Amino acid sequence: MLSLELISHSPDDTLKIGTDIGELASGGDIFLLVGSLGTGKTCLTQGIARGLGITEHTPSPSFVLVRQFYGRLPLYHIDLYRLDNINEIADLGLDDYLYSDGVCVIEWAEKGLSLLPQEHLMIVMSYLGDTERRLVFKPGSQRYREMMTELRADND
Amino acid sequence: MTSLTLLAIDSSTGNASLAIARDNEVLAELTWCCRQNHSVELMPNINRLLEQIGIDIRSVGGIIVARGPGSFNGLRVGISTAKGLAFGLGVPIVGISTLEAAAYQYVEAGLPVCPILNAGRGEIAAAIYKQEGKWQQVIAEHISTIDDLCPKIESKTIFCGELTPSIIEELMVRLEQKAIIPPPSTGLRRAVFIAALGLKRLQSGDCDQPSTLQPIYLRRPQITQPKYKNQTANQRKKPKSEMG
Repeated sequence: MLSLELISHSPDDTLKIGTDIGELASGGDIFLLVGSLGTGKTCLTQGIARGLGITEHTPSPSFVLVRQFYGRLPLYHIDLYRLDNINEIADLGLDDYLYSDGVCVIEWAEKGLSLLPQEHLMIVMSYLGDTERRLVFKPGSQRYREMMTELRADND
Repeated sequence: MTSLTLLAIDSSTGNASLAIARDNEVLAELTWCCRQNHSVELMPNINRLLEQIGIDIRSVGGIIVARGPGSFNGLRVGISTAKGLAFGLGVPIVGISTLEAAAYQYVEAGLPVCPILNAGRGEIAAAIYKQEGKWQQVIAEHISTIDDLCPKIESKTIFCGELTPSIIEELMVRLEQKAIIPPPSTGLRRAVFIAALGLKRLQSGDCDQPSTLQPIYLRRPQITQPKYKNQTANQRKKPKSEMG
């Protein structure tokens, strides 16, 4: 499977898709979220947190760059929105998260692609209508292709 | 010659270590499981160790610090602490490769020594050192895998560092008699070897500058040109998307 496309009709839908991803996640997974403001990246991440069994509120990490949560696995929620220079991103020391046993969700990942592991699942989110969003999943390795098969079964 | 008291700091990984040495004598050492809490635990432990042996921080004449490879955040805490202390005390600072220090405990063996640190995702950080006339680096610190490392091992080599059971098994299968694996009791990384290598450099009249000492960071990507810095506003353009 080269890519999987899902349509979300509401924030609740996006949350549900996120929850499915969180339930399927395993240690070391890296999810890259790409999409402009308001396409639901933070909403999807809240779903992933829920799927990992994290009950606390997961606010956007835009201003703190990284937030850590502890559920079934640690969740490292990273947001590159405020960073414009690739050197700034390199100086962040993301490797400690990217090469850990936790799950990394990276918003605005397109800003730092050259620094991120090739083995990742990219999720491109785009605006279709007031509440409709398109989510395109691009698996970067066999691990994520298998995950996509399960995700599609969950959302049929 | 007056005696020289050194404080050695290694916060390269979740296994942190401190040593206080006077010339070639180790006065105290503390090695503990620190996980990611370097920023919380390092300074209190330095104080505790100094107090325990009744040494005032002002009598420390040099700071030795592990430069990595290792955890980026751990290294930043350790190197910042070392720089602050060296700058504040007005004493020299010396940065030592974490891998070199791990290898240095086998300096007398006369064999190549290959220290290994776990770099995550099945990758390792490794290097090779050998005492041949003098202590020298044969292969520089690099990111690798056991698969890629094994063909570079040409003769009997001592492996040390973070040797997990699976790494040991793979080395034994691939290298057979060429792989010498010391007992697990010697596997803990200890700051005394950082101190020993630091003392050697200080005695040869060599040290680093607090303003320029940098961690060894092996995954730093190839960055050819800054995308925003040094460009005027009207030259700015969006970073090229690398999505494919």
